[in-house]
Amino acid sequence: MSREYAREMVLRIADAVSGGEVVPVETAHISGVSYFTIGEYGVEFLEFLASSGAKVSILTTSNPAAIDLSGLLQVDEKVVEGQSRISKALRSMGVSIFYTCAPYEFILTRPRTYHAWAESNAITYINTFRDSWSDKNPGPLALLGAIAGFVPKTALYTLDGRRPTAAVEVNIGPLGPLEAGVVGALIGERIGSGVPYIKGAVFADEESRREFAAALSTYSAMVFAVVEGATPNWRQYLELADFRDKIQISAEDIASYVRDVETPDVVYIGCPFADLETVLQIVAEVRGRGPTKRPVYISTSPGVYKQIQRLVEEVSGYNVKIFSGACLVVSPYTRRFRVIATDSLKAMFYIPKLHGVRVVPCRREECLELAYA
Amino acid sequence: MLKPIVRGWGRAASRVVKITTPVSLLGDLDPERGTLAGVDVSGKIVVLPYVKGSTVGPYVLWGAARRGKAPLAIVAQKPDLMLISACVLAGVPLFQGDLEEECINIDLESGVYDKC
Repeated sequence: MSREYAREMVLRIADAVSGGEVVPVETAHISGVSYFTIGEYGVEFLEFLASSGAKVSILTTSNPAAIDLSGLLQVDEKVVEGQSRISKALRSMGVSIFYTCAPYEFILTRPRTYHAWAESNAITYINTFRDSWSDKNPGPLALLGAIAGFVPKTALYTLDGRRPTAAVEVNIGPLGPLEAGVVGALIGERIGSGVPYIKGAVFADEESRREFAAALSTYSAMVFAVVEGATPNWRQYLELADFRDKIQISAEDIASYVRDVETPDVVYIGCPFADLETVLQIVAEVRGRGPTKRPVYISTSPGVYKQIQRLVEEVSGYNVKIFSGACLVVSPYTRRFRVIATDSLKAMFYIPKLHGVRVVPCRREECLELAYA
Repeated sequence: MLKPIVRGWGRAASRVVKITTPVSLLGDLDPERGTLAGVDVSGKIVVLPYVKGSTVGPYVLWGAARRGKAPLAIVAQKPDLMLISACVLAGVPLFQGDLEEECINIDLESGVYDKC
């Protein structure tokens, strides 16, 4: 019955958005699993689906929750209870409770395969850096799609819908995480919709690619960009391109975006989740310099966390708090801070909106300086 | 005639309630009271430009429908995947178009309507 319900819901949505056409999907990643964001109605819906016996039919992973896996972020009892109801419902439907916003770290999606993902940074990452195909599905649609095994065939599931529409020239050296985020945000704000084709962008490392993808999709409705030399099949996309917009992004644009740095209460790294290399860099830095004056919070995926468990304990003595399964965007814990310094443009966008806490941007090394200031 | 996006069944007569600013289903819709941006929409046809905001929105409309507090139908100038998903889940018919604030008699499947 429940598989039928999911199929019917997805087909009805497809009737409205894609003339009834659907595509089979290989994997799904669902969002809206934090009690802080979905509240009682979200829990009720998940419990309703679970109690009808619904089961996912493909590998399905979940976004971060309101509470982290080791209990570092203290939240009130109501949130803990709501979150555990969500986890129980998801688990009974066969969703892998990875609580990560970077599922691409361990799900190595292939080019030109279909996916039903619902976390914008992750969708943008696999679309842009792997040419794997996913649209931005609303949280419940990704879950229903995971149960049904298919989603509506919207434009991003077709080659024609992925035709580049805007030529973007980036004239700046290798982009570190903060600069990559600013470039993503600027493209998002200036173009808004369509598909950007980006020339001249070199990303310094994996973290920079993540920050770019997260910022682009936070500051616009776009979840796909073609990066010359980086996106698989970029030559084919260039041949298909139909440029209606043309923009340039210069070093001055970035400088004007990154202005005053106010002294924060805390430094936050890891939105989207920090990769192993980033965590190890910070660990090496604080080992050399000793305990920080202000706490450094690092959110990472449960996978990375497991690999560095012994380090977590060691660096907690240096005032560095590494946690996993949640992040400062979706946890109400964040409300205890006044000003947060971060290198994440996505965190900069959401934390003030969701928690009323101020956020200041800094490059990774400046962020650490602020922690010692 | 309104363009049907998510079709319903049967006919209904209802007052039209118009909201002129974009709304977020999360935050602006109170599923306990059936109010949207402070306006009572429960059991009525609600006209709005488009929805904005969180992917969590569909859950809230679903919650309102479960409590019998959902609108009878929604008419949006720009329906998107979020609003469509919300209406399908909640079983609320959705149309594309615009209406004046008056009583209309509508076919929820075809979108054909006339004044009460």
